[in-house]
Amino acid sequence: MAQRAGLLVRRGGELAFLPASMARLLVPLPRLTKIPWDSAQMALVGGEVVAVLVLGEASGELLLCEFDGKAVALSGLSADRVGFWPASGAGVRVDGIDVPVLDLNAALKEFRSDRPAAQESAP
Amino acid sequence: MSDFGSPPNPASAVHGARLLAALEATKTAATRATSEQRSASTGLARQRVDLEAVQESAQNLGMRSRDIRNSLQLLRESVDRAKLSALNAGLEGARLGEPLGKALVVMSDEQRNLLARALDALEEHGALLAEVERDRERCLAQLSQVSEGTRQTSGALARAEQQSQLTSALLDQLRADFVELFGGDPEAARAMAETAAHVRTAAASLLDLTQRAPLSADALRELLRPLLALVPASEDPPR
Repeated sequence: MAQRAGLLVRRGGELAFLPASMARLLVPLPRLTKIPWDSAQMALVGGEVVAVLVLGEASGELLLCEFDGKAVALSGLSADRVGFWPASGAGVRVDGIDVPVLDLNAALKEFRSDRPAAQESAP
Repeated sequence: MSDFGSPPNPASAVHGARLLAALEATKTAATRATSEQRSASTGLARQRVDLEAVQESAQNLGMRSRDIRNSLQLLRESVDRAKLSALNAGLEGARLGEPLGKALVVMSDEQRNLLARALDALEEHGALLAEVERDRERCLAQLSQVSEGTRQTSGALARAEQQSQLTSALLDQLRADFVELFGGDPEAARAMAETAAHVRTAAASLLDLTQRAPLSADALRELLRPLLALVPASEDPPR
């Protein structure tokens, strides 16, 4: 069976899998700054500004990912462990339990659709 | 010397002597009570000082607890960072893939497990420290109660001491009034009472003699009458 390498994270108590190709780096949660007219936030990590998607309650960690060639940071996740696990459907099988892949596409869509209406008319 | 006025009353002198003795005993007891109260007050003041020292130690213990809690927090943050480092190393291994990155992932997992245990131990220490802190707070509250009790007792003792001193002063005044009333000093009053008793006995004996010698009885009786008037009538009047 094919093995998938990646990171297991907890989001509100539920386990989710992030492939190693996407998960880049874990850092302590820096100060987040709200972006006007947007539901996303931003943070300064290693001297660079990155967009932060808040997926849950602050856990003290920030996960830097690479998605579609762009850097995006996720907060509200708690890193559990790293490893190789057998692929199972769209996710992996960990200790006999299927763990789905964290759907970043959906999360991004949610953020894009969550923009306040005023943003559309903002200069 | 005695200044009993006129006419001296031996019965009053005897009663006066008794009263004076009781007065002296009461005065001695009051003085002793004052002394004991003063001694208790001193002991209580010493206890209050000791109690304040214990309270200060408990306060210092609180500061130490805060220092330990800050230390634990620093350790927790360090362990959290180390855990992130271990996970990052594992991520590097995962990106390298099998078999190259496998060792890194395994090492990372092992390190993560150890750090998780360290975090658990830190949590336990934190909980124990919180328990110690609660006990300290309880202890401080009880010490405060004891301190309040000691303060009240101290106040009560001071008031009792004042009352004892007042009692002593009143007894002194009473004694002075008593001496003024009976004249002379108390020793003289006692001596006078004893003398009166002796005179009464002697007069009774002489009277008895006059009854046995009828020839001079009238003359002797006349002589003894004023003497007998000086002493109180006995329970069995002379014949």
